[in-house]
Parts: sequence; C-alpha cells; structure tokens
Amino acid sequence: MEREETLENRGPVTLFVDGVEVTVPAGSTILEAAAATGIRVPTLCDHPALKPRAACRLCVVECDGGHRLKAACATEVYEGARVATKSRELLNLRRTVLRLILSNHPDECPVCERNLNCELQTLAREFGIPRLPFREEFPKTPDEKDSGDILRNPDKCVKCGRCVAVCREIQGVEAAGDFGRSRDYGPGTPFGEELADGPCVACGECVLACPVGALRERDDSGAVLKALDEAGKVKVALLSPEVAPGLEDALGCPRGSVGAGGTITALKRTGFERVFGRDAFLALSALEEAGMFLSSEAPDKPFVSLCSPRAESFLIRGLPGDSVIVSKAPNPDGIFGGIFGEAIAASFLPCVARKSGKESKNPGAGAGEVRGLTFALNSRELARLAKVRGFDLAGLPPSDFDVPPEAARVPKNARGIPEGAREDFARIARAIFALDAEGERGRPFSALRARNAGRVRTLALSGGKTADFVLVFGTLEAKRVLGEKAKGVARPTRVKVMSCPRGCAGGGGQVRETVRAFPREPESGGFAAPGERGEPWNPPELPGEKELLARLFGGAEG
Amino acid sequence: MKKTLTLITAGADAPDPLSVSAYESVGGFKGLKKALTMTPAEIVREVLAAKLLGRGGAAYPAGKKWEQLLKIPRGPKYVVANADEGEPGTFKDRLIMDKVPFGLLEGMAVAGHVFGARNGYVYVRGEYRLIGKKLRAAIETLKAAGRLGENILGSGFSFDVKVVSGAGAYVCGENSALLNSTEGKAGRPRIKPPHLAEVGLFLKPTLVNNVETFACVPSIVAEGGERFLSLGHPEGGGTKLVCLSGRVKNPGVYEIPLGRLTLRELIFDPELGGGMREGDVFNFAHLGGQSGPIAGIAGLDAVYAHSELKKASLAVGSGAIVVMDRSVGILDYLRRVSEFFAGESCGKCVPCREGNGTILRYLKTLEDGEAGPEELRALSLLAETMARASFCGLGQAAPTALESARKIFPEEFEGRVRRPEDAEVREAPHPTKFGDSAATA
Repeated sequence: MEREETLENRGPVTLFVDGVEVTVPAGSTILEAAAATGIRVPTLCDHPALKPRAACRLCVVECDGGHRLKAACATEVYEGARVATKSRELLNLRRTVLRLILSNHPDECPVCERNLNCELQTLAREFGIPRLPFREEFPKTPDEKDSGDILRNPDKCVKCGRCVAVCREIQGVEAAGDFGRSRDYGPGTPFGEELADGPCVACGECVLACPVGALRERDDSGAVLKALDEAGKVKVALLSPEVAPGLEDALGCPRGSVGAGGTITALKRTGFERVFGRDAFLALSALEEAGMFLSSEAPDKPFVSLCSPRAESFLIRGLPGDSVIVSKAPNPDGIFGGIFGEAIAASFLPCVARKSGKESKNPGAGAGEVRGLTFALNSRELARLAKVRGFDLAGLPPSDFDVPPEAARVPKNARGIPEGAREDFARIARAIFALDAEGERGRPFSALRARNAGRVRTLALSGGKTADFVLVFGTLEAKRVLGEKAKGVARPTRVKVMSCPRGCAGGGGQVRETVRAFPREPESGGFAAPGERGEPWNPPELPGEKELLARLFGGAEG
Repeated sequence: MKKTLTLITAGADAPDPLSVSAYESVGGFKGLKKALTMTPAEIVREVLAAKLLGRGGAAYPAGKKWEQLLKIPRGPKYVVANADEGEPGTFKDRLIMDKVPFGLLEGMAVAGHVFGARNGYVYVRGEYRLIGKKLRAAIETLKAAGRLGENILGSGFSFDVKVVSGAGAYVCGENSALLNSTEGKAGRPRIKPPHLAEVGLFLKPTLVNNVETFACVPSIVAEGGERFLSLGHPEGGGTKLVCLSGRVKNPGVYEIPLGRLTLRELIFDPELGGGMREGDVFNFAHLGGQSGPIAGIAGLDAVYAHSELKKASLAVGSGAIVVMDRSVGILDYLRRVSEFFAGESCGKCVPCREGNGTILRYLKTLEDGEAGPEELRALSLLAETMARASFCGLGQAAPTALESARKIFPEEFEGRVRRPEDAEVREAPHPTKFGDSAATA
C-alpha cells in the first residue's frame, strides 16, 4: 500500500501543486504543501492545533484529475501527486459550498461581536459573494443558550466542530460534543444542559477557536462603565501586563506602542482612581502559599495550586479521595478583592474562568476563588471598553502603577512557619512566584502540541532536603500529571496548574489576533527550563521580598 | 429455461433455517471445509478470479479488498459484515439472515481463516431486531455444532462472531460510520485515508463486506472462482439478489445470474416481477436504492450487470428495483427521495447537510410551480457540488436520482418552471457560475 511505504520511510515527498514542484516532509498535508508554493487554499473548519475534520469542504482540491475531490486539510501528500487547487471549476464548487454555509447564517454582521474579525465574513468577502444565497427563513433561537460565562448562539454556528475538538483534543474536558444529525447536527452538551452545569472549566479555548460569533464570553464591559459612574465608591483596578499586547492588537496599534503604561493611563481616564500591577499581589499570593506548603501535614501528597474553581472541580473530582492537597492560598485577584471588598474592584487578565471564580457558588472551596472582586474582565472586554471610550491608545502618555496599599504587602496566612525555616520559606515563595509568573507569561504554542511541558524543577532546602515544583499548562496535561502525582510523591511537591494551554498571556480571554501571533516554534531555551532535576534551581528574588521577610520574622536573620 | 438460480439462496425454503444438517444437505460448509485446507493466498486468488463485486452498492471488487488486507502485516484483524441494510427498497440481506444465516456466517468464517482473525462482527441495522435475535441463535447453533467458535471442525482455527446494532441510521451503512457505531461512537464517517484495511475497527486492520458478498464466498471457495465467474457477467461474476418492489405483480427477492437478463425481463417476466399490476402503466424504476439512478422506459433494455448498466448510466447498487407507475409523478417521487436524505444526512459536512435541505426546498418550489430557471440551475449546481465535494458516499450519491431523472424527464422540470411573463419582479436567488458574479460583486 502506498501509505505503508510513506509511513515507513518518512523522507521528503515531491509533488506538484498547480504545476509547481514542491518538496515537503512526508506526513504533510496538501494544504501545507500548497502553502509552501505560496498558494493559500481557503479553509474554515481547519485549525492548526487540531486534527483535521474535513467538514467544511472549502479546501477541496483535485488529485491526479480524480472526479471526487479531496479535502486538502486532511489529505497527506504522496510522491508525484498532481494537485489542482485553482481551476475555475473548483472555485465554483467552493463558492457553492460557501454559499450553502451562508444560506442560513444570520445577516447581522454589523451588530455581531465578530464583525470585521470573522472568518466567515472574510471568506465571503474573498470569494466575492454578491448577495446572500439560497436564502430561506429559518426559526431563530431566541437568545443565547447559556446564562454562564460562555454564551452560545447556535444560529451563528457554522458547525465546523472546532469548539468540540479543542475541548476534547487540547483540553481533555469534553464538555461539548457533536449532537444531532442533518441540519440539527451541531455542537452541544449532553441532554442540552448549560455549559456551566457540566465539566466545563470555562477556560474559553472554545471561544478562541470559534471562527464566527457563535461563542463568546459574557461581556461585562458595559456593567463596568455603569459602575464607574457610581458616586461614593472607590474605583480600583488590578492590571495584568499580559492584556497590553491584546489591547494593541485589538486596536490596531503596533506591538509595544501602548504597553502597560498606556493601559494604566487608559484605565485611569476611564475612571479608575488607582491601578495596581499584578506582581505585588502575585508575590503576596506566593508568600501565602509558601507558608501553607511548608507546613503541609502530608508531604507525601502533591500540593496542588489551581487557577480557577471550575478547574478544581474538573481536575480533583476524578482523583482518588484525599490523594492531593489543594492549596487554599488566595490568588492575586483574591487578595486584591479581599483588600478592596468595599470598593469597585476590577481585575484585568486574559482570562474567562475568573468570571466564574468571582461568583463561586461554593465559597471556601479555595482554588482560584476571588471573593470581593466586583469585575473580572479579560483583554477583549478591555479592548471594548477602550473602543467605546474612543481612546487613541498610542497617543496616551504612559503612567506608572500605583503603590499597593500596606495590606497588599503583608501575608495574612503565612503563619505556622517553623522556627528557623525563614530561608526555606523565602526560597519556596520565590519558586512559587517565579513559576506563577512564568505561567502568566505563557509559553510557545508548540509546547501545546508537544505535550512535553510539566517538567520538574527541584529546589534545594535546608538540611539537604529538596522540594519539587511543577508547572503544568492545559487541563489535558494537568489530568495526566495529577493522575501520576496522586499516586504519591517522594518529596514535597507543588503542582501549579494553568488551565490555559498557552498560560495567561495566551489565555481564553485574550484578544484573538494576539493568540494567533503566539509563536508556534519553540523559542530558544523555551524547553530548557532551568533547574532540571539534579541542578539546583535558583529563582530570582520576588518584589519586596526583603521587606516582607523583615516584617514576618522581625528584622534580618543571620 | 429457469430465470433464477439458487447459489446464495440454496436452502432458503428449508423449514428450519437453523438446522445444520439441512444446510449441509444443500452443500453447506463445503466451502469452509475446503478453505481450511487452503492457504489464505489461494483463497484470495479464487475470490479474485470470481470477479465478485461488492454487493452493498459500491461494487468494489471484493478480491481486491481481500488482497489489500492480506498484505497488511499487522494484527489482530477483524472481519465485519455490513448488515445495515438501510437502502429503501432493499431487503435481500434480510432474506439471507432470515433464511440462510449460515451462509453469511460460513462466508465470514472463511474470511476469518484468510486473515487470521479471531473475531467477527455483524452490524445489523437497528430496525432488524428480530433478525439480530435470529443471527445470535444461528451463531450459538454453529458454535454447538463445532462450525464456529473454538477449534472449528477440528482444524485448530477459532473464530467467534458477535452481533451488534446501532439505533438505526442510514449513514451507518457507510463502512467507516458503521465501525464508529460498532465501537459505540456516533455513526459518522471517518476521514479516509487511512483506509479501513489499515485502520479499521478499534483502529486495527479490518475487512468490511456486505452480507450478500460474504454469502457468495462459500460457493466461490467450494466450486472455484472460475465457475462463479461463469455464472455471471465476464466483468462481474455470480448471481445477484434483486429486490423487486413497487407496482409489480410479484414483488420479492430473486436470485438472478448477472448479465443474462434485461431490466425489462426482470420487471415483466412472469417468472420474475410479472409485469405491472392490473391497470398500471410503467413510468420509471429506481435502481439500487435511494442513492441510485432512475431508469425510464428507454433504460429497460439494459442488461442487468454492473458494467452493462453503467453504460446506460444506471447501476446495480444494492439490487433494489423500485417500480413506479404513471400515477406517481417524478417530482413527487424525487421530493420524497430528497426528504429521505435531508433526514439521514449525518450533518458533518456542508454539502450534504445544507445541500440536501436546499434541494428539498427547491424541489417543493418546483412542484408548486413557483420555481424559475434560476432554481433549476441551482439544482444542477447543488447536485454537482454534493456529488464532488461531499465527505462520504451518502452526500456524493444523494443527488444521483435527481440528476438521472432530469435527463429522462426534462419536460417535467422545464414544464414546471414559472415562465417569465408569469413572474412578478423578484430577485434571482444567486448567480450560477464564478465569473458571472463579477459584474455584480
């Protein structure tokens, strides 16, 4: 069989795309081979991180003059293939397919969230579809199907299957599946339940993957504007620098032209009196957690830190009872919300799950819970705020973060630290801070496919003891790592789970263009994490560390 | 001369289909016994020589399929019988499973021996509940008689068969969707390649053949491929079960030699269809199931064999021949065909999901005399797009009846079109071809 041969010798394959000879690695798709010759075959259901589904049929090509067309996204190259991608006949067939997709798509582009940022709209424009074809009246679903953080509009759905695939293949959650048949086919949840009632971790990967406006997060930007007009309340914001590139991309500014400084100014002009940086709160969160980790009563069980309550219920529920210790340390948003509980407190992070963290129905559950926070907004919502307010962001003078209040500099829960453990405590806090900051900065997109993250970094502690620190990206990998660690750990181990596969910077609440621009290839040193087991790991000092330790332990020690 | 043969249906009139001795009295298990003395390559050579074309509808040469699977070194391999007989007007696999279940099981056991398979599956359509029960009983009977299960006929070869069913979906007759359904997944087709011979059931190399195809195997092995070939057409050997239904006097399943009879004989010969029912006049026949072509009067002289029918733009397909009289309008009929596909499309790919529904809508418009020339052109465009760009055979074949009927009954289509003078000013639904739109874009 031809395929057997190609599987055995994975050498390069030479083929002809529209008469142009091209040599690509075996296992490439025709789509990739065409791209290598400078030909872009239109696609809709294809997604670079997902297995091909070949469902939209827009990428059909002719192979060796065969009558039945092949989907370029799902067809492997083979030696000597003669592929036609651009005959008039093919263009006509693709046009008909695109018209069929458009035939029952709502004509509400100007009021759609994805207007000017929609893959279907772009295709229609590229194909030059002059008017909506094969039009028919179809029953409208009255409203979005969910009342949670992720809203579905089945009318707009083009049934590409990306949301279902990303949930299954990338995140391993399987909150959604393909249901129904014929025209009733489409993504859904078992028994039509709301997303929030299933295993959904609200990571927002499906929202990122959706090519059209069928999936979006609940938009709180309007509510924020309203709240900012409320008299008599202090308005404060917690800003994660990761939203700045998203803001730049969403508003069409060059990268780096706005930065955190410009974003701070924008937030202040929007009505926030104080804008704080995330790092100070992250450091405090690390100190809180370091104390708990150090005084853990079950060092043979992994100490797990999760970024959202939904991730906790999804990941921990599947493990044997009491096989892990879930960190109850508040995250930066939780600390911020705790301090500013009386104020209008809004946190800006490229995150969708924080929204439900804010409204946890299970107070005291711990992980990622953020009581006291008034609003948890993501990059897309911030961009909407900025657009509504009409900011010329690039022209805004930069501002500095405000100095966090006193309360944001002293850990409340870092008690129970044994006598003389100051150095261990400091080292652990540093390690936690460094890992969490790395998680928020994200990592190369290829790591998501390679699935070889989750490396162990070992920290030397006093008395020849060590502790392991693991950073895990994405819930699929987290399931695997936690399943393994739940069997027991040889030394104290802290596992930090970032629910989003690209960390916070490429999180489910990031602006789509920014996520798309994430590097696909490993950045240099991206995988050579410092402090592989065996090498001592020396994380950098955390902001204000000396001062904090002095407060905790009363003056310099040793 | 007798028009029918009893190669597959030998023993179909026995009072007890589950009697091993009755089955053996008409030559049963001769094929399996002989196969157990032959090498796999020898058996595949016989199947190749028989020119047995797949009986499910696609008519892929069974010998070629077997040869491809035999070459694959990996195991375990699975043998699967496609008994999801979902084509409307098709009820011949049902006859085999009901009356000669041992024929199917013997054929599968031969295939099991060829591929060193330990397990076989019969995927029975969800609606055939009683048939499934019967098959299970047949399997138990054969196991008790040492013709299935452990150490078959003392040869050391063991082969077990399980009966599985879906909930009833036409698309599960597509082999890869059938395997997905067997695995407990939703019955939607897989991307191919990899072909099922490489990555089939439970991701293992798999043979999927139609029930009737398996039922042909025992006689091919017992009597030799050459003899099987000689019974039929030089390009496709053996006999074929045809299912006559509709307005004929004698509806039913007939086992006929391929290449010996014309469609006219099949429908009108007193020994076969017996002609139209009292007072009815032949209008058209639908061949091979809903996904097959329509034959008009002019098509009746075509010889019933795969290659001969193909020359006349017709097809054997599943073997269904649904005969309609003048009281049935072609548009009415096509609309019903279209309703069927619009309901049975799995919905995964755009051309099939949206195309079938749109065709149905336009056919209704045409029937109501509301369609203009634009709708007629749209029907052609949609049919071509579906045939060429759909994901699987369902969508590719769905517009076959429509396309063939348009050639036979052009006046039924053109005659229904609203003439321009009737038309109020209204918008054309779309320009038809790329380039035409340049002016309007």
